[in-house]
Amino acid sequence: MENILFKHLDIADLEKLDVYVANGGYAALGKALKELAPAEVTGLVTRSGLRGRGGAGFSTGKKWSFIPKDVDTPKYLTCNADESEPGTFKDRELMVRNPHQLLEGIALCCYAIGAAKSFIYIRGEYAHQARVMEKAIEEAKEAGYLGRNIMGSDFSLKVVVHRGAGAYICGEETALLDSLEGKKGWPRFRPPFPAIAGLYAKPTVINNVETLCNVPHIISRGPEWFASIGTEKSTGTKVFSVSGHVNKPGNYELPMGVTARELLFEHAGGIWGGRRLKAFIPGGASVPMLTESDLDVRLDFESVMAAGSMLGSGGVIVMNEDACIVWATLNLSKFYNHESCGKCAPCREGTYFIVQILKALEDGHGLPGDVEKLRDVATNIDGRSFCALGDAAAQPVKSSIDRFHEEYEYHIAHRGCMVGRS
Amino acid sequence: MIGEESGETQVTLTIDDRQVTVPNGTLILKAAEQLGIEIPVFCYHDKLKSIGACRMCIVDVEGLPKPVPSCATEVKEGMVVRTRTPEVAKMWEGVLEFLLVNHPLDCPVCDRGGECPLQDNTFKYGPRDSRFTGEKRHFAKPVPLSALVLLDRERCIMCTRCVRFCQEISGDEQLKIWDRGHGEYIDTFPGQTFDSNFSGNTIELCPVGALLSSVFRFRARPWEMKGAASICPHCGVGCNIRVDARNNREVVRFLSRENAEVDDGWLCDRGRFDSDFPNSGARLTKPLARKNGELTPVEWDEALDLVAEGLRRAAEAGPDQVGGLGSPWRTNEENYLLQKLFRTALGSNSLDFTFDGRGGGSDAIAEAFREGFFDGSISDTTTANVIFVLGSDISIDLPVVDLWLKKAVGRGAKLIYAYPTAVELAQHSQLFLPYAPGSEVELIEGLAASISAEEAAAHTGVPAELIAKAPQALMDARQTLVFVSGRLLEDEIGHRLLDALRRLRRAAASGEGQEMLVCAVFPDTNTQGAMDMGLLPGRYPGYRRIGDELAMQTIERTWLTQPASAPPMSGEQMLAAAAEGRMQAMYIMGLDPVSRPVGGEEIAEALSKVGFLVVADTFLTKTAELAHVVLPSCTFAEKDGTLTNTERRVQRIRPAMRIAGECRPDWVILSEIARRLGMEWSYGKAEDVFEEIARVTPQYAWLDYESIGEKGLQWRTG
Amino acid sequence: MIRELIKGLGVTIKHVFRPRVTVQYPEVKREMPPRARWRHVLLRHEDGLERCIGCSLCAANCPARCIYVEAAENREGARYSPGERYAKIYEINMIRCIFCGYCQDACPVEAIILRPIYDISDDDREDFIYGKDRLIVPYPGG
Repeated sequence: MENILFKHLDIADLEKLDVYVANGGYAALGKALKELAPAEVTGLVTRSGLRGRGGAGFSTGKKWSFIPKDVDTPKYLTCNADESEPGTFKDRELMVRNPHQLLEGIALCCYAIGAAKSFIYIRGEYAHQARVMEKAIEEAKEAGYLGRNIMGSDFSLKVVVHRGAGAYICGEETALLDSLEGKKGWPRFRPPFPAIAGLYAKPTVINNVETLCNVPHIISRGPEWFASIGTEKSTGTKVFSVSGHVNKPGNYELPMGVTARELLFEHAGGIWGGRRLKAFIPGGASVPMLTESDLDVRLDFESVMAAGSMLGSGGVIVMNEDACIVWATLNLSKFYNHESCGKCAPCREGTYFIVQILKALEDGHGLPGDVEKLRDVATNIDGRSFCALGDAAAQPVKSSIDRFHEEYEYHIAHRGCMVGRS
Repeated sequence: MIGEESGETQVTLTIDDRQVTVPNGTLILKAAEQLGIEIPVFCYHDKLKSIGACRMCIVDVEGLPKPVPSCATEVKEGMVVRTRTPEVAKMWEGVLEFLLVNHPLDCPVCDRGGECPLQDNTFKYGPRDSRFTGEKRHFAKPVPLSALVLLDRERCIMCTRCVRFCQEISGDEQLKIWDRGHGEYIDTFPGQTFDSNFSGNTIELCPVGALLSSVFRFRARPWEMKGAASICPHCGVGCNIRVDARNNREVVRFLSRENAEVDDGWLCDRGRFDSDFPNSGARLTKPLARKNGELTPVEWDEALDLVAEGLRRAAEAGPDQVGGLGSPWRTNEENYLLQKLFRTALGSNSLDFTFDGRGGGSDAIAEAFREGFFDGSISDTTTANVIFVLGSDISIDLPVVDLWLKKAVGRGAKLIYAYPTAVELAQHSQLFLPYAPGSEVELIEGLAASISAEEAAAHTGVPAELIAKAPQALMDARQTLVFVSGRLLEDEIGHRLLDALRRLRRAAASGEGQEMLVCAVFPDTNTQGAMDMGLLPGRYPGYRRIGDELAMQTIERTWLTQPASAPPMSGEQMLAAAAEGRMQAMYIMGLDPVSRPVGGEEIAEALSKVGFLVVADTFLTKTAELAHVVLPSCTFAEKDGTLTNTERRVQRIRPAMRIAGECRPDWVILSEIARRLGMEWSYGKAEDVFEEIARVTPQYAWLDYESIGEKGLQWRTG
Repeated sequence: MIRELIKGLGVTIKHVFRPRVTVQYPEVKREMPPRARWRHVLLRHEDGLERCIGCSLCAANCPARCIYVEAAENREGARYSPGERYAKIYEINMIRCIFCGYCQDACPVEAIILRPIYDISDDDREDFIYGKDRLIVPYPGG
């Protein structure tokens, strides 16, 4: 399989502007500025079937088309580089190894929606990545790929890197906007949607790094080529971040629809320590767990959904048979409790409640009925919280109880762990 | 604009199998309310923007994958909402369980216990038992945010009503959310105290007992209190309050009793927290009479006999030797009876409610009130395009009007603020005119463009380019509202100022459909009422001139005695006469001029030369200490009556607690004195007095206690 | 007629030799069942702090309306009870009290309890209003 987003694996020093340009970089932007009207760019992206890689999988072209046209108001593109989903580390590689690919995608999107300013909201911990991006922006500006009258056209664009302060919630698009505006990162009530009133109450598109990185390839090689990769409804490639109990953890760019078995055993080198696979989370920590019996599930939006989970950000977390599910769930729940923004009661208090119960189970203080209580509490969060963080917090709990009920009961009955972990 | 709303579309939806039609844009919560369907809320409040955060009000809407918060979701045509299904019941129970996870359940020691929305909703919709067995989060309790407001963070459910109040209503942004998730808490900025003028409102907004009043803390449980619908006695706005008294014995707190025309549901801190004075142990509870140079407690009969005898004897010496001082802190009924007593039994017209010199302005203002010049209302701030404030620091003089003005600015009204110094509200104004005191007339002339901006600038010291901005704004405004300081109007320049305002009105209301409304600013509670009741030199009740034949005939028909027509003395003149030893007797009701920060000593010296001084007051004030007889009167919390606020709204106060000691309301005291002076007054209750006021005061002619009701009514001319 | 007299006297004499049912109160006091409900007592914690938190729930629950409570805040150096609040004034009017024990039911901190102390007699009506001084158990160690 050809590397598309991950061309840097084949070409050395691709982060350098001259190398990028020498390998066909900024050609798509030049083509769009010369030959295509903004609406045509949006049309190409829509036809390619590209869907958001941040987790929700919403059609990118459709999202762009929601931006009101012919209104005399500033519009913004915000690139969501707040990659905070546990088990996801694709955007950092995309930014560090091929920053101009992202910038070209940003420029194309801004051209399509009529934005003259774009922000890259990058998570606070990505200090190095932020520096790389800033340097790339400077280079691109000097070479005329950004700034005033890009490549001789009357299209101008300013790109600003904004570092977050380290909050998971700021990856939620409306909380990200609040944070970018200088407020406390709390998600906003929708409607109005960001496409109508986003950043500074102006029409705003928010796209993930990987999503935008796909755009130059679609423009230069055509939507039909893009749609030919992957499955019918999930087109293109996906960068899977594999972590946990595998022999070769890392980022793998594969076509949508690759099976979990192929990803884990052919590419990621199989399960670590020669042990059996116990569970894997296919889309970052926020989606339900799957087990060994789900290994033949195709990793695309529809198939994973059908298997009872979600493709999410494509961060695959693998646990072998030595992992204690209760401990793993507690670990994830602690994360959500720590990262809950505190705006709504179900998430703020519910994640705290869940951690308290799980701690009791893990410490051997669990009581009969605790598992049912735990599942009920998770159910009370799921779908009732203000934003998706609450839903995300409920998924590991609900799915692990559903799939590993006996392990929970063992913790109560034996005041200890089934897999030997104390 | 109400007129513009008539064209809006209606939407029909179904809630719990019942149809309701509401205007487009209505929230599901409000539509349900119309059907009498209750949906519990915490973060939602009528006066604040919806944020849909607490999730208490989530309901099922057919066709939507997730439940939606009814407090933030607008209705749609054909929407099918369900609030009473087992699924919704489970969701509500779940949300309440979450809210209680970190809530300490110390209801028995919580001031809110018994009137707590969290408690009520838990009883109605919450889980029966607690499933949470872990450790709750802990904070120091309580944390003083200021001397008046305490915060118990353990009880806080993060509805953020208080934060949003500071952001959206008071605009001072003093409270913020700190930290994140289950560890977050409300606090001021580091090192600062919550010193907003309106901090007390957050206590009332708080749906749990997290924000507490240091004045009310631990004073009473809700079931021990009974509330009386009354009026705040602390300034001329006349905010509607509920006076809560514990076991009918002591006033423990004031709560807002929303009046959409007057206070918009808010109280200032001065009003809310100064609620303790009726309970004071220092109150006068028994009449005092001077015996051997000392004030000695006596029985009422003896005291009243002394007063009647003293006044009668003094009046015999001549009507120019007796005078009475009413009070802006007494009811209309009491001020009315005071002047009636003097104008009938004592034959004197020397009546006032202050010793301050007015330099003749009082006659101009009286004439202006008689002709109905003042027609602006506080609630006109909701419609005015331009609001012009002259010479008053509204934030201090009429605190709650400060919020009305900020609200008006928020909706886009233009605020022109003229005041000698840069007060807080000036920062919210579009045009701030810091003029030299005394140049008000020239400033208005400049605004009306009847003199050039340069000429006005020369007089006022305000840059000409600032003054030049105003005329256009006034010309463009459909409605202009002017708040003008009553102190300026009473001053020497009063005549000229009123004339200037008349010219301004002609300029600002010259176009088709244009109008300019004027409201006088009187910071004291019932200055307006005291003037209305005829406590102005030279004016009978209703601003009718002494000597006006028609007025005297009308009054005589009611009083059955001819009102005195002796030449009047103003307070200032009475003081001068007293200093020269020419006052035989004075009756001072509810006023303590000796305690004034400036000039008190001179007043004390003059009063000590009065032949017979009677003071009726609630405390033994410095003025009372000089009196020959001191009569203990009731506070506003122990009697019926009416007060007239700065926008001429007549509102009722009602007794909230039993009368302290042997105190009597002033209208009873005055009736007793009148009886001893041979007058046949027969007032059984304050309402009887008001009926008579309505007969002799043209502006009040259409008012009675019933029509005034809970919300008050403005008086009107003709 | 004499026979009737003797018969009547016989009943009297029979009762003279039966065990007595009265006691010489107040020198002798009759034993009460341990759970008899008479006069109230306000309890303390083991460390000597008052249990009562001055919440007034007893007064709210009292059908005879014979309890009066006024609360105040514990201050640094003047701590009466754990927590923030204590009863500054706690009064029960024993004449009005019907000894129903509802106050004990209502108490959230088990501070008030009805004990088998039944000698509640006095000369003056005012003296039947028991304040905290008489209701609270002595401080441990005096």
